[in-house]
Amino acid sequence: MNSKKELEILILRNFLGDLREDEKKILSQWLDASPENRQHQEKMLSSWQDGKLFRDWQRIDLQENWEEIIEKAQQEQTKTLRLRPVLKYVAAVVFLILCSVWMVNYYANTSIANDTPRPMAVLLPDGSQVWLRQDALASFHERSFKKDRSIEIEGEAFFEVQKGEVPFIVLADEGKVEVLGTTFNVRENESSTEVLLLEGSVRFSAAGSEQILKPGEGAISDGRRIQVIPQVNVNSVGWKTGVFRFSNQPLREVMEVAAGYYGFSHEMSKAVEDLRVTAAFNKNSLSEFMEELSFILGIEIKATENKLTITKE
Amino acid sequence: MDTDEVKTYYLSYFRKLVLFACKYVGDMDLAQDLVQDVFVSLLNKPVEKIENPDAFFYTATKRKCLDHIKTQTIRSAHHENILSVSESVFHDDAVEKTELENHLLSIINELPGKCKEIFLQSRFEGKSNLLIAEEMQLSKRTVETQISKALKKIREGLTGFKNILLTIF
Repeated sequence: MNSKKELEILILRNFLGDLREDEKKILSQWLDASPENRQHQEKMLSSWQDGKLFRDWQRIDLQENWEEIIEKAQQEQTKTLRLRPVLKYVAAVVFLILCSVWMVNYYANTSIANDTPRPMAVLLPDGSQVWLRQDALASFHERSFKKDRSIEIEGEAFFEVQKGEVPFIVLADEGKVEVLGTTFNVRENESSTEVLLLEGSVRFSAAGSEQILKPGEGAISDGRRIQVIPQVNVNSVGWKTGVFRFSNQPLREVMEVAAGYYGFSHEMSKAVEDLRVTAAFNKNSLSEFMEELSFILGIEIKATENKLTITKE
Repeated sequence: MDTDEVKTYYLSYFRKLVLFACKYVGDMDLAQDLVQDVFVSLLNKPVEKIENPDAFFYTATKRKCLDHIKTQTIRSAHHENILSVSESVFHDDAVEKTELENHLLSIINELPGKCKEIFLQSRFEGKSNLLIAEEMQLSKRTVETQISKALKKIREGLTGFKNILLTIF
């Protein structure tokens, strides 16, 4: 009885055309014995047909494969070396998350927004004072403020900064103001940040450049460059100081400027809008202000619940 | 075991194992890649001594192939079939077939240059002896002699191999 192995060798040799007559007989007897045997032969020869097996086998490049093995082995080693640091990273990430949770609590931002029409005074931990104009927002870290004296501003704010060793920093979207002790105004809106200096000296930096301002100067940044305003209009900070100087300005503008300080809303008839005003005010009360304007222009100002209605007399 | 020892095993086993892996994954390039990994693990997790190299390498290769097939998201019925087969290689027909095929391929590959070329054209490209003779500018007689020389070598090689097979399996 022929072993299966011997028969398989016969099958292959037959395929290559190398069987003696007696061997052929043995093979065909075996093949005829059962259909499974024929199937077995077909399965065996399928890979040998058309020489593909041999070509593929010949194509195996021992040198190239060995080089790839060495390369892979080295890569894998560095990978396993890196695996331990991965655990370290996991620990580090967990630690950082815990830290930040703690820090968020510890250094919780204090945010103050002024939703009243009148300026709102905020006393900062270092004794400096900020006046927020209507709709302005200031945020700072209550606990670390004395160390970094950094405050973020949205909208318009007026500062009286206490002298100190640490620079006082105002961050706005389009620029940063650094000071040691001074009085200045910062106005931030969607597209620009403007700083107006009253006393002392500030460094305004934005868009990679910086500008040191002298009292009475201002600067405005649109995020691309800083433009210096040589003479600050006193009215620009009138909303805080209550000091206004109008020179031949239409009533419309006058009322808008004054509204920031007095905190009124107002409406006026077309007839009075363009009346020219030349006048100075210095922390006058609202009634004094109204009286003065009525007197100069011959208009009627009626006050109802903080709303002024202005008409021709 | 150092790199040199691994390389010795590599040189005697790599082709066989690729052939073997090919029966599972059906692709020679992928098979080479998988068998490479067998040697990569051997280099990186050194084994002191391999008691039975045949068992070691065939089992490792088979495992690599099965792992690979398992990780493939799309499994054909054919693969499912292979997966359900026991992992013990020495009941595996594929090992024996691989040994035989590899042996035959080696014999053919070791035929002298011209002899090999004539034999390949005759047996795998289906060319007639006359055509081969014309193309290679040889006499028909030379072609016939070279083919029978090749067949003789193969016959001898396989006879020797049969005895080896009988002792191993």
